Amino acid sequence: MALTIYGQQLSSRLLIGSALYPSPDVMSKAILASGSDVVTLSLKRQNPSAQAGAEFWQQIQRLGLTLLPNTAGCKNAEEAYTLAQMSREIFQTDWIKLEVIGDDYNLQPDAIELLKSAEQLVNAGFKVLPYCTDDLVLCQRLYDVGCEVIMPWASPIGTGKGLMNPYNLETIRLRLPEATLIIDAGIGKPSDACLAMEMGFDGVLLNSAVALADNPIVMAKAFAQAVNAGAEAYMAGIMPERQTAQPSTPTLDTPFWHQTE
Amino acid sequence: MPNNITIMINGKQFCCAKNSTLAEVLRQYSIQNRVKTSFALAVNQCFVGKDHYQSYQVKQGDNIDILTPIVGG
Repeated sequence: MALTIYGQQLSSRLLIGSALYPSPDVMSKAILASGSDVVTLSLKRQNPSAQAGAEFWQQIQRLGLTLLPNTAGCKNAEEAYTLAQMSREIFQTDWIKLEVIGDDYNLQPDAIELLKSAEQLVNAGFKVLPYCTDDLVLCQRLYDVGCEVIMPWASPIGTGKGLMNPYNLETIRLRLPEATLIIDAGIGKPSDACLAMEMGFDGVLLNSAVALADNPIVMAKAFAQAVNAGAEAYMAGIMPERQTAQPSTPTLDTPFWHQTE
Repeated sequence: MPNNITIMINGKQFCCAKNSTLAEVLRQYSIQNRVKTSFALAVNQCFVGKDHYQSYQVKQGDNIDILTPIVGG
């Protein structure tokens, strides 16, 4: 089931991260098992002659997937702008997963700097995918400044707590019908991803839930199936919830039934 | 040495000749080890593209960040 992001058609609605895997080999196999077309990665200070970094980069390049660099570690719009420009030069892409963190404890985005940064990057020609909280007004403002894709968290990064506030997420979906909405961060189980897709989200971006599983390769496959199941369920139209029981077997001509006089 | 200046590269002091270009500094920085991966540069937290390595002249106290691809979520 295709998903289009900034004009690029993707065959999978699951986007996956490249961090925290037990080895580069497991990382590659898990990413492939996820069926994802998009892999996230980052930039850090490192001697360009370091062997480990070079090996990782070669592995990622061999996968031949769409790269989504992030601005992890940035605390303000200025840092994010510099890092985005560096990412564009290295990875040859205008796509940027914008992270501007305001709190080190729960890695919550700084809404004010995030919005400022998003506008600056959009004006500089970037295709911005902002990681944000599940705040409707912030999501609306990010969309207004030109982010076609908005990525609210399910819960804080790496917690695996799942959808912390389903009401907020459902409201964002309802109120921003034109935006491409991707759940980013906090997903723990495949059922969390399925639930988000059943709500009508367009995709799910995750990393820890796969990388920290006992078997990341099998878990990647489980997430791919969960995301597909949720997306198909949403498109099929989920039945309305009812307060009272309704028999599913027809009641007409029920045997042994006698009309009371 | 009066003809040398001190700059910072990835948070560590680095000595180079006065009036060196960024390209010359990079050559000196990676002289012991062959560069094995892609990198991008910022000087004093501002991006400097590859096209400007030959023309940018480093100054005493410049703070250079050399970033390379790593895993990320």
